[in-house]
Formats: sequence, structure tokens, C-alpha cells
Amino acid sequence: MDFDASMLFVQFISGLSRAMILFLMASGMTIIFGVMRVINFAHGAFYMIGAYMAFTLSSVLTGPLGFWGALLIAPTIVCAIGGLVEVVLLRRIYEKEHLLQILLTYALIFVINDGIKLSWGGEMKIVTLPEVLTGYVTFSGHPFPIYYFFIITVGVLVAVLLWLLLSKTRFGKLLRASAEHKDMVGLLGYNVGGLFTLVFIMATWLAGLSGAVIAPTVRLSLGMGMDVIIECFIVVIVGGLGNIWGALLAALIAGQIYAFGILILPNFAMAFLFILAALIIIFRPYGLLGRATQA
Amino acid sequence: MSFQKKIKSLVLFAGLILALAVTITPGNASGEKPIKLGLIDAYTGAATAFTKPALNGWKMAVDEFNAKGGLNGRKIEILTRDSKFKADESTGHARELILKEGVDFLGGTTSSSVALAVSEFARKKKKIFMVSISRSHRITGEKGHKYIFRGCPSADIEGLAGGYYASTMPFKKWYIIGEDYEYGHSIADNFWKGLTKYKPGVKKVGEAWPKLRETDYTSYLTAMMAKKPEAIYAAFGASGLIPFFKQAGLFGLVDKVPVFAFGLGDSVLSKVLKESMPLGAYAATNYLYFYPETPANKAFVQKCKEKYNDPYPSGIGIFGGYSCGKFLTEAILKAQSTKTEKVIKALEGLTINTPIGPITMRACDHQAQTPAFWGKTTKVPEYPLATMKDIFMTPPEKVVPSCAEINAARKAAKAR
Amino acid sequence: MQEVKKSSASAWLVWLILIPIFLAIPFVLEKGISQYYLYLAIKVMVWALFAMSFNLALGYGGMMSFGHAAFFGIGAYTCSLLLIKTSCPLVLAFAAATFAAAAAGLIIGYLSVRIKGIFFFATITLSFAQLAYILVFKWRSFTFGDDGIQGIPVPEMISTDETYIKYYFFALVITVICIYLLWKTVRSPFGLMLRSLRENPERAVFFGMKVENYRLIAFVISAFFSGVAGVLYAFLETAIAPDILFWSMSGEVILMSVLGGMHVFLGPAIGAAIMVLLNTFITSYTEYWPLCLGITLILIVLFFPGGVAGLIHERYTIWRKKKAT
Repeated sequence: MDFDASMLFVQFISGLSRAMILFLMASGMTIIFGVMRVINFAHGAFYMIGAYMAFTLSSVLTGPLGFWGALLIAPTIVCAIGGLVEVVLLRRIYEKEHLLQILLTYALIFVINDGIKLSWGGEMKIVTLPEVLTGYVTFSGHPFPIYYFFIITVGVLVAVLLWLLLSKTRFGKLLRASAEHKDMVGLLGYNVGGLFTLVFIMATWLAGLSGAVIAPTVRLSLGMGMDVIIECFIVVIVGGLGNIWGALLAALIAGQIYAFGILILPNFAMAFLFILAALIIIFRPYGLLGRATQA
Repeated sequence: MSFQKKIKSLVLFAGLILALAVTITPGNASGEKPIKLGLIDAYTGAATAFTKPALNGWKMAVDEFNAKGGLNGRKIEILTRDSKFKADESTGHARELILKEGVDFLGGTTSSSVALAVSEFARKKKKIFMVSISRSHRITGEKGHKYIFRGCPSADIEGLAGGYYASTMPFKKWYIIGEDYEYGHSIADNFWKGLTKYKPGVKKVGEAWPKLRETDYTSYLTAMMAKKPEAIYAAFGASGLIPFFKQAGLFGLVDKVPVFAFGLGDSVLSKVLKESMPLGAYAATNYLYFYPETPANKAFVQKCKEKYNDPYPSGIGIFGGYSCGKFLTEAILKAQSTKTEKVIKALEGLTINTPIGPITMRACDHQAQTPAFWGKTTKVPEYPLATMKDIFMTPPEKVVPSCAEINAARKAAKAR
Repeated sequence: MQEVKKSSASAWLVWLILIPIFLAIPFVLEKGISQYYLYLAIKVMVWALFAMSFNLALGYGGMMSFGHAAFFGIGAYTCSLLLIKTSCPLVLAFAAATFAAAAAGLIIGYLSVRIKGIFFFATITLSFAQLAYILVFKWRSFTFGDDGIQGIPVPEMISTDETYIKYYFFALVITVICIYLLWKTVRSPFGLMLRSLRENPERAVFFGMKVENYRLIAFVISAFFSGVAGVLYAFLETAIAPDILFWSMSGEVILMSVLGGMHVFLGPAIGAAIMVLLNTFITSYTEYWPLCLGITLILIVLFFPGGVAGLIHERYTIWRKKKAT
């Protein structure tokens, strides 16, 4: 096969866009674990709500505003639902075993899935892109869609904002502190419960955003959350539980291995992620940037 | 603390009542014994776009049968079960339907591996199983037997017809991309078999098999376009075609390279894809609501519109279900019995009249001999959905594997 | 001394009641109600064995494997492929299948047991199990890919073509033997050690034996019995597909264990029975059965965190105390 530079570049961008979607999902999941020590298996379900909300909003809101409005409002609705779930259910199980927490979030998937079926029905749906984001640019004969550049931009923007939030704000410091010593934060007089609710809202907002962002490129159907959750879970673990930058690194690696793996071994793309995960855990038992204390 | 306890006992009590309510099943009231038809299909999840219309098709045929008085007053009753797309779930339902409900006939299934699993059980229990959506050629081919029938097309008829159609075009360098599961491989293999048979000298420049329900095809698309094929065959299941063409649309794929896809011509696709439906692609299906423009077809479309609020009936869904229901009910009437052996006899070689003309159930492999309609997707003012132009109808006898080939395949499979 | 005698006497009583029940079940169900219910009973048995084998790793070893579907599936596939492709006798195929599952357990376990964090352990076992799934899925020429295997030639002696009674007894004997062996394992000094290791995983060396070795042995035993359950499953269904190696199967067995109660020996079996029966019965009432299942699970987590068996155990001890006072 003749590899030329612009083709490799296009392949690289396609891997990057995949990585950014993974990161949008995984960042929320890993923040939740970092602070609350809960693996939220229902993260994919929140992503699905985001996508369905984007569908409804982009058809309700008219004109070119539809998509942009959906992009903003859908994650907000999702995080409102997320906040409710935290207050009603999750905060009752922080002190319990991990397995019970998994069971609860797993059960949430069933409930949310059927909730979506009740509200939207079981038919497949698609979301239309606004005119501005359709079309593609060409790199010496290799086309690449504008929309994926948009996804990459959103991913980078979220990463930068997260970095600013974590390192420059009080909330971020509190967040990091509670990840290290949960009890200390409480002892210092901060409302740990409120912090947890905020964190969960933020994380589900990210899940809702990734759902809304991905919606125009896929078909919306029940179970779409399940299709992504394992990949997202692996990225979170491989990156090091609770570590946002680990998740980013893992997502970038996973995206590139996928993109270039397809070029060389298109038949075994299914296996890439799992081989990567097994190897990394064997050699780094707590993930790329994880530490023993966090497991 | 005591509040907590109260809730605990309340939950416990409610749970017990529920468990009782669920386990005490109401007994069946038996009057005039109905003929029971058990349908197993993925009635929840992404496939509902096809399974629900297919169920309507079955119902339409069964209603026609019942309205005419059934079999000497015995009417058909349909029982449905959700396969959840899983083989073991489906065989569990097949057992329940046959052993507990005592159904006379089985039907349904979308996933080919589900069809194969149910088929095996039907063979053992000596019950007729009529496949209405699953396409793998193995179902009535090498794994066929006395008790399985298929009233919808098989992937070899569809794939070979595709190869035949593509052979009339000048494209020589092909790339095949398909979903990595039974149907994807089945349709792609048959397409390639047909193409190389009618046009020797074509070349495959590459192929890729993304996993089932992949959400992101970008890397596949870039890798595929880097190979610079002259034409592409997309071997996806009908629901997989949706995200594939959605993303392919972002690349402007169809404007650059001719893309061929079976199933893309089905009205379900244009219903779901709407403005994202690729125009100018080579698409096909087993039934078109706008072609042929015969009174029979117009009447069928009218009926779908009135009864099921479905003015653009789909081939994979309602037409497939209707054909199956028609085969079964006409065979019951012809046999004047619901006895498996007699109905099998009646089904073998049976010809039914469908909106697109007569279709025959071939006796040697129990496969309905269906035509395939290829064409180029386009938009016309008469319909809100995308349709097709330059329609190329391939009659089944042109491409279908002979009985001798089927028998040889079955023998070879037994020898393994 | 008195206490011991009393408990062994009541144990005899329990057996005296249980044995006739288990002997009568097939005849009552198949002849009295419907063959289908006997099929369901065997299905419960197979899943119960799978869940209990899995729980040796989870509940006793503290290893949350997210890949036990692989051992179940390898057992089912090895046996089915041997019976289809060779004229291998049943006993040999059965033994080969369970050893294949144990061998897979040894390989996966060897690479995984030193991973401490439960989610890291879950991920590495998940990854290996998914690779096994991909292998079965992709190796079409050998495993028939996602077509699956239909018509597994089950020997006449235990065939389910006409009646499920023969197979019921076959599965019952094997399940009882396996459960007895599992019971012996958890009651042995090895089992006790395993549990204390779960409580206190920091201890690196335990009486000269490395912690990893304990965990590995438990993992292999667990894989072995999961393989047995896989074989029983293949014979019951007579058709298998790669789905049975997929991660959602591993998820299901985790649900069963936690739902039933992973700290009680028979807990996972109860969880398996509940899941199989709920799935079967609710499905025929409403298409919203996942909603019912989800709400049930949430209520259990919030109010009965010990699982169903834990709840029974708790009630029982309260009752005993009341009776004593």
C-alpha cells in the first residue's frame, strides 16, 4: 500500500476525533470516581439521554439555531436529571461496597433505557446537522468532514476548561483535595454532600454533551449507551482511575491505535482496545497515571 | 430507624405480592380451538424499525385468513415473544411457545444466528418455522431441513442479484466494507460470487469489517478512500446502513465513488435517514411501494396506509411479513389441515400472488423465489421520501443457486 | 457436643425433605404442568452452578472477575466442537471442556491475580474474556463464527428430544457434586485462608505461600466449575452462539451473585433463580421488563444490601434470637 503524508494525516485526525469523543465520556466517569469512589455504569445512559434530547430540541427549535440550542440545552437537562439521581439514589450508597454501587448504577441503565422507550418510542432516530458544519475539507485528495474538526474543537475546549477549573478555581482545589482526603474536606467545614452533587451534575453534563455532539453522526436507538460504556470504562481504567489527564492520554492512545490499526489490520479492529488494556494493566497495574492509593 | 424498617417491610410485602401475581398465571379459556402462530423477533431495540412492520405484515395476512372464516371456523391467533436479538433467549421462547403454549407454527426472527438456533429446535420438535426477516443463505442453504421455510429473500438471491447488476457497470476495482456478522459476510460473499461470475477480471482492492453496532466509521472511511476504489459495496444490515451512510455523507462519499448497498432502497431507510439519505447511490430491496405501478401494488399500499398508517410500506418489514403470512395461510387452506406434514406438502412449490406478482416457494430448499429491485436513489416530487430511478429488476431464476448446488452444500455441511 | 448432634440431626431432616422433592420435581413439572417448566428448572440449575462457581472468585476470593463468560463459553464450545467434529465419547468431551476452561482460568488468572484494585482486576479479566470472544467470533472456519453451533449431538442417554427428565437427573447429579465440592473448598483451610485474605489483602505472604497463589488457585477452581456449567448449558440448549462469551454474560453473573447475596454460600444460586424466572415471566407480561428488573435491583441495593440470601439469613438469625429469649 502506498502511504502518503496527507493520508496519514487524515487517518491521524480521524483517530483524534474518536479520542475526543472517548475523552468527553471518560472525563465525567473518571471525575465521579475520583471524588466519590463510585464507578458510574449509567454514564452511557446519560449520554443516551443527551443524544435523544438533542434530537427533540433540534427538531423543536427551528432554523440553524436548532442544533446549537440543542447542543447547549440538552446537556443541561441531562445534568438536571443527573443531580436528581445523585440526591435521590446515589448519596445513599457512598459508604457501601463497590459492588452494590455497581449494581445500583447498572440497574439505572435499565430504568433509563425503558424511560427513553416510554418517552421517545423504540424507533431509530437521526439528528440533522446544520448547514455550516456539513461538508468536508480536502488534504491533497483526501477528504475529511468539517464536523469532526468541530468534535475535536469541543474536546480540546472541554479539556482546557477542565484544566482551568481544576487548577485555578476554589472548586477545583476542593475537588482535588476531596479526591485525596475526603474526610479532611468535611472536617474543614465544607459541605461534602453538596460538593458530590455538584460533581455528579458536572459529570453528567459532560455525558449529555458527548451524547449531543455525537448524535448527528450516528443513529439514535435504545441501547446506544451500552455500545459505548465498555470502551469508556476501559479508557477510564487504563488512564488510572480518577485521573482526568490519564483518561485523556488513554483516549488519545486508543484513538490512534484504532485509526492506524485499521490501516494495517482492518479485520482485527475489535481486539485493539482489549489488547491495549490488558498490556497496560499488566505493566502498570494502576493504569497509566494512576496510583495505588486510588484503587 | 423505625421509618427505615417500615419502608423495608413495605418493600418486602410489595415484592411478595408482585411475585405471587406474576407466578399465578391465568388459565387459558378454551373455546373453539384457535390455530396458534408463535412469532419470535427482536420487538425491542434498534431492529423494531423492521420487526414491528413485519409483524403488521403477518397480521395483515392472518386477518385476511380469519376474515374469510379461517380453516372451517378455526382462526389464527398470533403470540409474540421478544428475542432481544439473542440466540439463547430465542430458543427459550421457542421452547415455551411449543412446549407450553402448544403453538402450531413458528415464525419471525431478524438475526440470522437467532434464526439458525430456532430452526434447529423447530426441526427437533417437527414444527414449521417460517423465517420473515433473517437473510443468511445458510438458513435455507447448507443448514436447511424439512421444517424450515423462508418467505422473504435470502442473502444469496440478493447478493447474486447485486453482483449481476454491478457486472453491467464498468467498475473494476472494488472495495468491500461490511458489518462483521453473519448477514454482512453472507451478502458480501454472494455479491462477490455473482460479480466475478458475470464479470471476470474485477479486482478487490481491500475490505474491512467493522464490528456490529460500531458507532464511529470515520477511520474506516478514511482508510477505505485512501485505497482509491472505483466502486464500493457496503454489506451492512439495514439498521447498520443508517450510521454508515450518515457518516459517509459527511465525507461526500457517494458523490466521489459509486456505492452499492442492498437494503438501502428499502423505504425504512429513507424514512429514518430523511435528508441524510444518500442520493445517487446504487440501492436495492425486495419490494418497492412505487414500482411496479400495478393495481395490485397500489391496493396493497392503500391497505397499509389505512390499516397501519404506513403509506410507504417497506420490503424488509411489512412486505416480508405479509408474504410469509400469505404462504402459511394459503398452505393451511390448501392442506385443509394444520398438521405439520400436510402443511409442508402444501407449502412446497406453492405460488402466492403478491403485490409485485407471483412468488413461488421452491420445493427443494423451501426458499421463496423473490425478485430483487436495484436502482439509483433519487428524489422525485411525487413522494416526500427518496425513491429510486432506472429500476433494474432481477428475476430470481436468473441468479438463484440451483437445487443441485443447494443439495451439494447441504451434503458438504453434513460431512464436516 | 449437644449442639453438633442437634445440627447434624436437623441436616439429616433437611436432606430427608429435599431428596424426595428433587426426585419428584421432574415428574410433577413435566407430566403435571408442562415440559417447559422442567426446562426452566434445569436452566435455573445451570445458572445457579455458574453463579456459585463465579462467587468463589468474587465472594470468597474478593476478585471481581468481569470475564467469567469466557470460562463458561470455553467449556460450552470445547465440548460442542469435540462432539461435532470428532467421534469423541461424552465423558472425554466433558472432561476436556472443563479442563480447557480451567486452563483458560490458569492463563488469565496468572496474568491477573496480582492486580489488586477491583476495577483494574475487572478490566483485565474483561479484556482477556473479550479477546476469547473475538477469537470464537472471528475464527469462522473452526468455531462457525457468529452462526453459532446448532444441533450439538447430545448422546441418546441424556437427550432432551423427547423428555427432559433424563437430562434433569444428569444435570442434577453433576450440579450437586460440583456444589458439594465448592462447599468443601470454602470450608477447607484453603477456603478460610482465602476469606481472611479477602479481608486483609495487604499481607503479602501467608504461611510461606504467596497471596497470589491462593488467589490463582481459587480463580482456576472457579473457572473449572464455570466450564462445567457451560457444558451443561450447551447440552440443555443444544445450540450455542458466541454471545455466551460476551461481556454482558459476565455482567449477568455478577448481578446474580450480588442480587442473591455474595457472602452467603447459596446466595448466588438464589440470585440466579430470581433472575432466570423474573426474566422469563415478566417478559411475557410487559415489554418493560427491564424497568421492573431495574427498580427491583435499586430497591434491593437501598434496603437489602446483603442480597436476598443475606435478608433471609438476617431474618433467620432474628427469629432464632427471639426464640432463644
